[in-house]
Amino acid sequence: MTDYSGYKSFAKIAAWFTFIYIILFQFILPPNQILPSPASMIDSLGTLFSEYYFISAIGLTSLLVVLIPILGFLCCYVTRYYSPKLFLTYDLSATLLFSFRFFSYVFLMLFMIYWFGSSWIAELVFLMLVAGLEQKIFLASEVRKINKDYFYTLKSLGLTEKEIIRDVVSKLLKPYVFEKIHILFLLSWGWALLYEMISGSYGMGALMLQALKYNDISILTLSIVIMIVVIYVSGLLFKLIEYKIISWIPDEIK
Amino acid sequence: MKSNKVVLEVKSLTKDYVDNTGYKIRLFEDLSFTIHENEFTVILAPYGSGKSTLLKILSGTETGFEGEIIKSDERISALIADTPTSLQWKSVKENIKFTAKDVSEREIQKAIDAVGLTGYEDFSPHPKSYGFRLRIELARALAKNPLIVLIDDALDNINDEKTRFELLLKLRELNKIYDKTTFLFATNNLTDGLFASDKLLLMSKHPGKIIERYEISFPEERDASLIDSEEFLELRNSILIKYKDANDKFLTVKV
Repeated sequence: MTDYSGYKSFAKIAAWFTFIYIILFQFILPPNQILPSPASMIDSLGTLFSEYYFISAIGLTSLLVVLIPILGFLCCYVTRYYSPKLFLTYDLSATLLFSFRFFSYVFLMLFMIYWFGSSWIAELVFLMLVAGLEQKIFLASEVRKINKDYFYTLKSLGLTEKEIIRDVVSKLLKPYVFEKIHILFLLSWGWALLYEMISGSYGMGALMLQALKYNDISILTLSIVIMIVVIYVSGLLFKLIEYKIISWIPDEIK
Repeated sequence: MKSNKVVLEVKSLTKDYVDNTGYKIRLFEDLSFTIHENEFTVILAPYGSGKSTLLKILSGTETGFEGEIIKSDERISALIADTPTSLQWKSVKENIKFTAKDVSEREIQKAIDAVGLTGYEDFSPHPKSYGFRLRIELARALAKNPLIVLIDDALDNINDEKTRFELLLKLRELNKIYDKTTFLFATNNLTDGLFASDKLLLMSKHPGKIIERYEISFPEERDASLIDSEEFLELRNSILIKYKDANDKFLTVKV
């Protein structure tokens, strides 16, 4: 199930892009204010660590984003023990929210920044809400695609609906839930950066905003490059964990 | 040993099906038949005639019908669907134990041996190993000592003829080993149905009714050569003619 092809393609494209970038901006094009040369980026490394507190910034943002899939997964899967129906319910509010939910998230984000100021806990709560709701909408829509014969056959063998949802349907959904959490994990980086840029006091978002204010293009580009590497490696690690947890081949969901 | 004991009686079953557009179809109308203990019964009906729904009703997992379903005792009616439902993350033994928690190890091993999975107890099924998964589902059902095993066109996914006949013979063998359990097999495949059956019920489509009952007198011990015998071909053709007369518009049965 675990598919690394997206990561492999990205690595190939990134390698080509880096090669072309180095050739263009280091050897062919003259120094400019739009994109820095690789040498000036390497020179900025020291500044990034000493003046921009890069370690604490990336540490905080990464921690917040990494917590999302773990907490989201736990939230979804713990509910199946206490309320299997809730685990699967597809309610009207989710349907209504579906089309406008990204506007709702932006509104919620602005509200939380205004209300709680620059609090990393507020950011964590915001990311949790977004990831939780996304996960819920996804589960409710995917469960409709599960082969209903699992219900009929297992029920005929004496299992209750609660047991089937808890022990079979939740397991059948797991590979697709992982796929979704993986996407959410990548999207959460975007949401986290946006939140931190608007609140403007901590994390990678604030660091990039500061670099932009000082017109420090080398720092900005360097932090973007490092972030891409961090996102890539953490995404790959996530895939490896998925591979360890889901060792079986699932049925195809049509 | 065949007995005259009726294990399942369906009396005047009527059910309507309403599709997404609101179009109503009468699936069964006044459908009645009886199943005798340990008599391998086949219901032959075309695609879309409601075979799956009928078996779900008989297994007690589908409601919303008129009529009566009378069972001779309280044992379960185990359903085997037309798509595999064994669990891929569990081994053969774990699959059986999952639904047969209160069943002894001896009974579980007996079911595994009977379906021909001895030595594969710790193997997990691949999603597309339809024959393997069917055997797991049969063992899972038999371990529960059911009154009746309802098999819904489960061989439809298996294209290899040799495997199909092996499985049909296996079904008959299981019917003999588990003499207090009865097998009911619903299919649209005339050759498969006729090959496996002791009794064949021919069902029409929309509304579903039993249009003919056949007591099959082929030998108890069968092999694949039976389907080329004159007796088999003759009976198959007469059923086909009867079938065409009753299902003029819906001739979708496989020969």
